[in-house]
Amino acid sequence: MKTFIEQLINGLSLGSIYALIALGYTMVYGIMKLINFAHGDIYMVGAFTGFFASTYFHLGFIPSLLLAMLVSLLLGVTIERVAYRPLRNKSKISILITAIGVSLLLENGGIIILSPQVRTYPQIFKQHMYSFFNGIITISNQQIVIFVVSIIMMVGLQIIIYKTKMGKAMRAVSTDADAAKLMGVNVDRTVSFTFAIGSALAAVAGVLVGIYYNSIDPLMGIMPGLKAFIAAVLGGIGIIPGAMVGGLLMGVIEALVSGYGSSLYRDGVSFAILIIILLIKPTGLFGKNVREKV
Amino acid sequence: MLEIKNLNVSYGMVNALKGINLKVNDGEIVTIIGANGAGKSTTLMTISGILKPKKGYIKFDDVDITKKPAQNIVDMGICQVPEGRRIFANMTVMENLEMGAYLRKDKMVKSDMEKVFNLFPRLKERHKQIAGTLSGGEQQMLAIGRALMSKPKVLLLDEPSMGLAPIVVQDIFKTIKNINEDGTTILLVEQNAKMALSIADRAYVLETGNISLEGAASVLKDDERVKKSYLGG
Ligand SMILES: Nc1ncnc2c1ncn2[C@@H]1O[C@H](COP(=O)(O)OP(=O)(O)OP(=O)(O)O)[C@@H](O)[C@H]1O
Ligand SMILES: [Mg+2]
Repeated sequence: MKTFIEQLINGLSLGSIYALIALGYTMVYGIMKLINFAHGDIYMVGAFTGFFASTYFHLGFIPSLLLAMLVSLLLGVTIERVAYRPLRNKSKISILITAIGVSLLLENGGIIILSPQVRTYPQIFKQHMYSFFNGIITISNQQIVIFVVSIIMMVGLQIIIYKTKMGKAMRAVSTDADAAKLMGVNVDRTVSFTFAIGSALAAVAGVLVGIYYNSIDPLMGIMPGLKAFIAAVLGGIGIIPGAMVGGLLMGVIEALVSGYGSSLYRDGVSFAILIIILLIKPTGLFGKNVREKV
Repeated sequence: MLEIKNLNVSYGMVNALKGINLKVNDGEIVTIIGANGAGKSTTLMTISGILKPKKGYIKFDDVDITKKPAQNIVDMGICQVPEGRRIFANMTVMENLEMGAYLRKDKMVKSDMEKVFNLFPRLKERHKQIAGTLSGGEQQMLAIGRALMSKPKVLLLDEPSMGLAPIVVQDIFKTIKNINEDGTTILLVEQNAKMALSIADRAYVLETGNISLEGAASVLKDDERVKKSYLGG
């Protein structure tokens, strides 16, 4: 029981991070039917920005986080503007290959500029464990930070998407871009905004990972990027609550497999579970079968 | 108020419009009738700025709008109810109407929504319903209501009768007539030539990218060629 709860909490922490990354994949897919392969690398840039901000500029947690969000946001918007927008009306495959190219550019650029060495994240929050119910539940302050920040981000995202004009425009464009144009929506600006939000959320995930695991490197985006993408597919790609649940589920499965089996099987088992879920429900957990009314 | 000259539009190698001329005067109902693939939707999409012509121009109140982006055209007062309605299926009725008012910053949006609800009481009852679950007729009402929320000077309607029962079609056409009487100019594309000619002032017949006939609706209604091709003999 104690291991189970411990692994559950670990899984939810990791899962919150996957969920934050998965949101960017799913939002961008929703609006332009593109898998942004560079998204994991935008997360890496966010982690490094947070690292430099706190190590060299001695900024506190919140200023570092905001700076990381800003840098990743600008990077994401620039990538869309320079690499994807000119191809938006071209074939899907050319834009997909461009995305892979951008990803490789950021990874190798990161190795050249930042050096391939693994950096140790500063201890912004000195680890401290809290225990409840005679030690049945133990939780670290870092995990609490991860939960609180993730919840704030997700609630904030819901507010933007459901309550603001820009959020409504995002939903309209993702349903039918031309119909949105007919209502006066500036589609280019809406797409930029989507990249901005998705990239800022990835930066948050990057900083949280730095705090939680203490180490970062220029290739750190590859594996979590892949898993977050899978989490997005698991929840139903293009569906925002799906990305949140998919991410959490992915984290919990991973933690439980590591806790009860071996971390060697962790990735294999999680991918196998994913395949099974998708075989049963190809559109993902929250996916609806597309049904159109004429 | 709307003037189209020598409009040529193509999709790659397919020439959909081969130099059409068309005019809509202030306060009129003008209809474009024609068979499948004649180029009717292409005409409306080009007016709305979604498609760009190869040649020719479109003027609105003497301003050339041919190269303007779609959102400027909506802002100037031209709004379209597209073919197949294309409502935002996973948003509520209310949110769809709000999308119609996307560019408006004035304080009258709320009262205009009330006007739309008066025009279509069915929408008021269902304002919280997800639009994709509305019936076909209700979706058409929503598509028209959504466009009206932009307060257009000219309303472009693309086959509003498509897929609707005759009784619903009659209702929709009555509403279109009312909207026009309240001061909105209308350009109506239809395959249901009989209904369209019965409410229009003037009409154009479009045949594979060319305008083959034009004139007063009352005259075209009795034209032998129109009767034979579009009114079923
Ligand atoms: N996206 C497209 N790509 C290529 N050709 C197209 C495209 N859209 C329309 N066309 C072609 O342009 C021509 C005019 O099409 P349009 O949709 O304007 O006709 P329409 O008069 O609206 O027909 P309908 O009554 O069936 O709606 C047709 O020959 C059609 O095949
Ligand atoms: Mg058409």
